[in-house]
Amino acid sequence: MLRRLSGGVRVFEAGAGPLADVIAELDRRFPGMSEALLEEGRFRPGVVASIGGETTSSLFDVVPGPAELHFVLAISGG
Amino acid sequence: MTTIERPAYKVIGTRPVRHDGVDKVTGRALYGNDVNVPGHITGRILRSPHAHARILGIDTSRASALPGVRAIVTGKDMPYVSPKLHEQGEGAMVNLGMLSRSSLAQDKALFAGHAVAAVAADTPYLAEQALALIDVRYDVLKPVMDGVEAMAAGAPIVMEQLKTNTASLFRGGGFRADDEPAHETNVASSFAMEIGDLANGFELADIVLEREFHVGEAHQGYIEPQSVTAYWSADGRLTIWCSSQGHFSIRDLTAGILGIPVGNIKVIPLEIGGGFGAKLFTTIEPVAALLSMKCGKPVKITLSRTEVFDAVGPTSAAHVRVKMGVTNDGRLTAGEARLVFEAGAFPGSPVIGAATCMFTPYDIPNARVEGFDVLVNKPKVTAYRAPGAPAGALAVETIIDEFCQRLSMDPLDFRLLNAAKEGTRRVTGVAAPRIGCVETLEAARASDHYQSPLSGPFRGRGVAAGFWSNAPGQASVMASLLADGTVSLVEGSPDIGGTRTTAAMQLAEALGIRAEDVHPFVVDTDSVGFTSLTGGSSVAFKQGVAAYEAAQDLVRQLRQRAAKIWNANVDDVSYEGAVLTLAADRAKQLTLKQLAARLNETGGPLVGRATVSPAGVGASHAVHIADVEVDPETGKVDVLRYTTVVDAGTAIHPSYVEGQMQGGAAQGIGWALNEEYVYDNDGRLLNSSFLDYRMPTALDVPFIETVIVEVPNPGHPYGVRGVGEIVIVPPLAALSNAIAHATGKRMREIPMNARRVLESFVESSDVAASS
Repeated sequence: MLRRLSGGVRVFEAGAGPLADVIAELDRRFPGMSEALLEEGRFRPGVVASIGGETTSSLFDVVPGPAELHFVLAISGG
Repeated sequence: MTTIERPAYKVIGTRPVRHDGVDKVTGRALYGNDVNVPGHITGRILRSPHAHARILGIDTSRASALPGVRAIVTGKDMPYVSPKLHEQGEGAMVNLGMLSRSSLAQDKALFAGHAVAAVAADTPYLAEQALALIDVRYDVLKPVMDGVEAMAAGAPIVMEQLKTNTASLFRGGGFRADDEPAHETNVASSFAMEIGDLANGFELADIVLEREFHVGEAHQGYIEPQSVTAYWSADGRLTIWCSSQGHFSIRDLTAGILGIPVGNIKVIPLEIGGGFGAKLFTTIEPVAALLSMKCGKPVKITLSRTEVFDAVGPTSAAHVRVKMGVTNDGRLTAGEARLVFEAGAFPGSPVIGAATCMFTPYDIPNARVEGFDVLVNKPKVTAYRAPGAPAGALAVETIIDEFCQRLSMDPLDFRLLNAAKEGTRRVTGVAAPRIGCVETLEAARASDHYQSPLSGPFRGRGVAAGFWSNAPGQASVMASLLADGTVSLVEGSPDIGGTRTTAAMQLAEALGIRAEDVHPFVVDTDSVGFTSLTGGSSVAFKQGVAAYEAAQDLVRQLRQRAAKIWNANVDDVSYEGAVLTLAADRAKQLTLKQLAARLNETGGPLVGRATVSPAGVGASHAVHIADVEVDPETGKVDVLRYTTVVDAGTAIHPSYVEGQMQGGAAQGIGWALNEEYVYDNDGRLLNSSFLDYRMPTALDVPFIETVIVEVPNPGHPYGVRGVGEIVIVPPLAALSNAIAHATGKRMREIPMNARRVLESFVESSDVAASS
């Protein structure tokens, strides 16, 4: 779904900063991205971000530059 | 034990007697059914005999008239809860509306065993009698009992309002709004993830194999059935006594389902007789609470073993199709998977666990996985150790074994050639951090088991690797220094695998004291800060971080007290090995015990606190080796020898790590060879007892040999990686490969019981000819 929103683009660069700002920037470039990821100002249930390999669900976490940011499915453990 | 790099610890790595050991072996420990609140009465649940039926009406009048019956509830008594997704700790997700409907059926019974009403009565006999007097009128519908069939056009629809979540990034399903058009489906969610160029990856391959597997559901088989006592007192406060994998989760979910403030609920945890993922969320707690609200008395519900099998979910049954490509020199070039996981009657299968783990032990540059979470008329599935991952590993590891045969390569050499390392790109797109994949493979190759030859007719050896990501979470602890120099450690994680002791050991290491000088206690939801679920192999990690941080807090305060005694600057006071020393005059020293005796005169009690939500969770890798012998006349498989190799990061208490490894292997052996849900044509479970649902006994399992690998997790102060789940990922595949080498026949269906193995002898697909 995200790839459909990005027109097939898999990798793109965005400015460093709080995750919320980065997603807002992605949404400006690829409209609909924010709605796909967020619900009522928080990550949709089951979605987490991976910043430099560390998963987080906090939009307050900062994406440093340079760093890899991925949006991935959360896994439930047993 | 293979240790890569490790500091010289004094407590960590030792094997002290567990703090709860005496209570457990003397029978003094209290489990759910041991609680008898004064004045409590008995709750019982009426369950649907039909796998799929519309409830036309429930008449409780005859039951209500029975003297001694104090309360009856049906789905109509449950508050309406929006079927919205609700985030839990560790990223798990719960749909409160679905959970509510799972607790008590609303308009339809969705599986045989679905609760349709509940009774509270003065005695168990009266409660049973009352159940028999409740008249339920059903319109029986055709059930759908298989995930693939449920996706086909014209399949019976389990839940008419189900809305498919098709976004790639979230799962769990939901209800469509009333004004949304119906689109009859049993698919709760679907997703796809991809890296590289899949078509090009298969172009590069010299050998491409595509195989399909079916894994049947398996129950966790915990010893203790669910047992709950709920008391809704006159002041509107609800107290729940139960064993669970997260009493904070039970509190929050009960509050959400019943629509009461979370501050009005206290959950008191009891010892847990096994969970393995099945006790993460509420089952009967809201029902017991409603009954108590109606009658004003404490109500206790204890499930029978039959109810546990019929109504409290196993793990998913799964259809897995995998295609992989390899070059003639043994390099994996591409992997593709399609996963159909049955969720039971409510959304939420562990298909994502399979999707994200199955290719992860390997460096496969081009990969795609698509997954489907599908409703069927079976009990709602619950988690079971590394949920989803064993089914995915079965498919990938079996195909790799076929590659090794075709290329005449040693299976561990092949895996080492393709092993994931730090920086390897996973199918999620995320690069692997420091992991122990190579080290576990090397340790397996060097093991006595692998170096020992196996010979004889119908004997075979199989190996398989596995991956599990492990979970983070929140943890809270309080460490109170007692006057005798020992420490009381209050914590919020229910203790399933010995985590009281692992937390105590990490606190002891940080304070320089003995593990025996820490007294750990798991306390209720009002007595410690929020702590997320005991799940996701998270507790030794997150609670260890909390214990470490609480120790730092305590040390900081101890240094302040010593500085006060010596009239010195706190920066000039050091703490090492439970001794405080003044830098300017090293003759001035105080032991922890000496200072503990002077707390009152120096400012009062000392408590170290920590509430953490730590990053840095470390993933785990494992390799299993299995030797089997197959009886060609009966198809029976005997496991001759079994070795499990796991990267524990740092084994805090090696005996507990070994216990997890042996337990996971034993459960995997049972799942692989025997355990199976058998339904009749109407969707009723036929083997809901331990007599007919055959878990392995001591006669079925050899001594499980263990090799602990330690590649410390750089994200934890002591290097901990979780071990509670990875241990069950490889067994299905290791045993499948072993049977293939013993018989020349590839098994594609789990369990590989005697009937299926025997049937495989008369089928055509032998190993050498398979393609």
